[in-house]
Amino acid sequence: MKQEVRYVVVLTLIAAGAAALLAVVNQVTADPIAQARRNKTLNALKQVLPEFDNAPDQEMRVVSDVDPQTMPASQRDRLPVLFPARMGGELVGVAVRVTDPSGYSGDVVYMVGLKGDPAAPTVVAYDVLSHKETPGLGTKLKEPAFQGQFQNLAYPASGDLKVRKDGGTIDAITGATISSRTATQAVNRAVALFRERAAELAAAPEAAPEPEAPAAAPEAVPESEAPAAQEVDRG
Amino acid sequence: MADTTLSQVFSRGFLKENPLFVLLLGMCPALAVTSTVMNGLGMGAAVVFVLTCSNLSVSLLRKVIPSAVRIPAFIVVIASFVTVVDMVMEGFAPELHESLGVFIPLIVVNCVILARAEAFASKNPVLGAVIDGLGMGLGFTFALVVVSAFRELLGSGSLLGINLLGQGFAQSPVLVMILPPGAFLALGLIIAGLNKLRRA
Amino acid sequence: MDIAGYLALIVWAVFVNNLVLAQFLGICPFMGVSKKVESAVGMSAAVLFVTTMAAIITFLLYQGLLVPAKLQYLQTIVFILVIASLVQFVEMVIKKVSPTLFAALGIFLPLITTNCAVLGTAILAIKKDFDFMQTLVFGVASALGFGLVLILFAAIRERLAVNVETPRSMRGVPIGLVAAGILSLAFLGFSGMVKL
Repeated sequence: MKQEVRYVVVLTLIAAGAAALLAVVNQVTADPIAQARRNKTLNALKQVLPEFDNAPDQEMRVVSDVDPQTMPASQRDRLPVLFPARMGGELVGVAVRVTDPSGYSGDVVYMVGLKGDPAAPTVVAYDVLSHKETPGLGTKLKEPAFQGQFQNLAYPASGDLKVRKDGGTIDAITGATISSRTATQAVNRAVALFRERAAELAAAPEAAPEPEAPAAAPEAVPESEAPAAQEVDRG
Repeated sequence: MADTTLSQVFSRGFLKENPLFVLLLGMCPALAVTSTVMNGLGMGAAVVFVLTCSNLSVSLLRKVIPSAVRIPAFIVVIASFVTVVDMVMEGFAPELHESLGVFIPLIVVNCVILARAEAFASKNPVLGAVIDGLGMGLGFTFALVVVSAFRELLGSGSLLGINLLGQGFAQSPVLVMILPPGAFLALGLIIAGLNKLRRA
Repeated sequence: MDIAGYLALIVWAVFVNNLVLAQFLGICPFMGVSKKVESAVGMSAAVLFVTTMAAIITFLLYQGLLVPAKLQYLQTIVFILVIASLVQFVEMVIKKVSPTLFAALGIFLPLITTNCAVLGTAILAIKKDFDFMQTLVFGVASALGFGLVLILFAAIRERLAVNVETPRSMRGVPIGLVAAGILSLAFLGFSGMVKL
């Protein structure tokens, strides 16, 4: 009996020590982790937008017909998100995060930057946030040989961006037409959303935006960005 | 182990008792994360940290832990350090964290670590245990780097992302080497090559 | 999720994203217990049971306890302890029910604890944000995929051992890995078949 008590005591002490260690490390790393997640979004925004001086991720709007809170997290993360970029209060461009489900082996998530007149917009660039395409092929979506075709691209008046195989103007990656299509589809979707919401985004935000005021309240934001968005000073 | 010196304890992990190539432990991460040298190094660093810390703690606690419950106790110790690595890496090396993905928490079940805790750290004083952890961890890292260099060079024509074999090769490399089958082939061929060398 | 969704999930877990050949989980038992078809079958059964139970229990603990208490960072510790206790339990049951099987599986039963297939499945189910039914189906299908490949591979190795003159340095694990590579190449053909 005495033996068993000792087992329990020793294991409990070790487990308690482990939990204490982890609680401390969790505290210490919480901020860097939130910052790292935010930086990922910010870096993508910088790549695909003209110069801006606001914090687009603080003004972001989730596009959804229903309350995103009622969705499971995996669905919520796939909703398109609009990031308005401003310079001196003027809207200079909009980045749209789009999840294209038609990749070869699943979702491809893009950040597409657009500027100019919503009726005839210019694609600034795009960035691939995540993909599950075949290694070595999917990564080519980010390479200049393919991605360069989208830089400063005047969106066709015909209203549809396509790869050459489908009668369009974009040269697909050799051996990865399906992956290439996701890029054109993401840009098409982004332009459609830009047209739909540009007027609303152009309206300058209130000087001190209330957390609940914009279409996307902070809780509606995908979980990964939420903590970062709140503790940011606007620069 | 009284007759082995500390330097022997340290160095045997590299070749004579290399955890991956000779003891054939820890094959899952060795296959999964070795598509680039950077990933191999990152995983190696994580394993060195966890292995050294767990060896240290297990050796410190070796007189306190009753042998009947030692395995669960070791597992709790190892899992805590793995979680530490997981959180630190997510905060300070987010890209590496993303590409190693599920294989960071899975360091818990890397047989190398439990095997060293059980076979060495629980029976030896602190200094030896730490050196053993470092040696085995670095040996494992060395093995990961060898496998990943082989795969990255053939599969992408580069090492650490720097193109070595020219643009032509990089345009159409031996893509299969960075896909899952290439992992098995690379590890199998490397182990066979080492067997051959050791016998000669 | 409808029936088609579950079917897609099963095909995805068994073929497209096979635990062993695409995700590299459970390589140790894959190399260790695959010399005989008979022991491969036993191992598969044990893994099927442990993986399914582990996926369900860890799901309930994670959603019911860790998330409400905001202790998600204890995930790894909690999961591995659940698996370790489960394995102890299965070991006791097999010892009672079939001493022959117990003798055959020998050292590998306790090693299921350090079988990354079990922990990997549990963590992946959480990462993919599956609900209860999906977790259950995913656990079963993953383990079936593991068993399928393990048994296939054991059959290949039985032949390799008898019919083929293997160079000395290639014997054992190296030729096993190369054979696994070829099998994995075959499974690569399933990629893109189902998306998840």
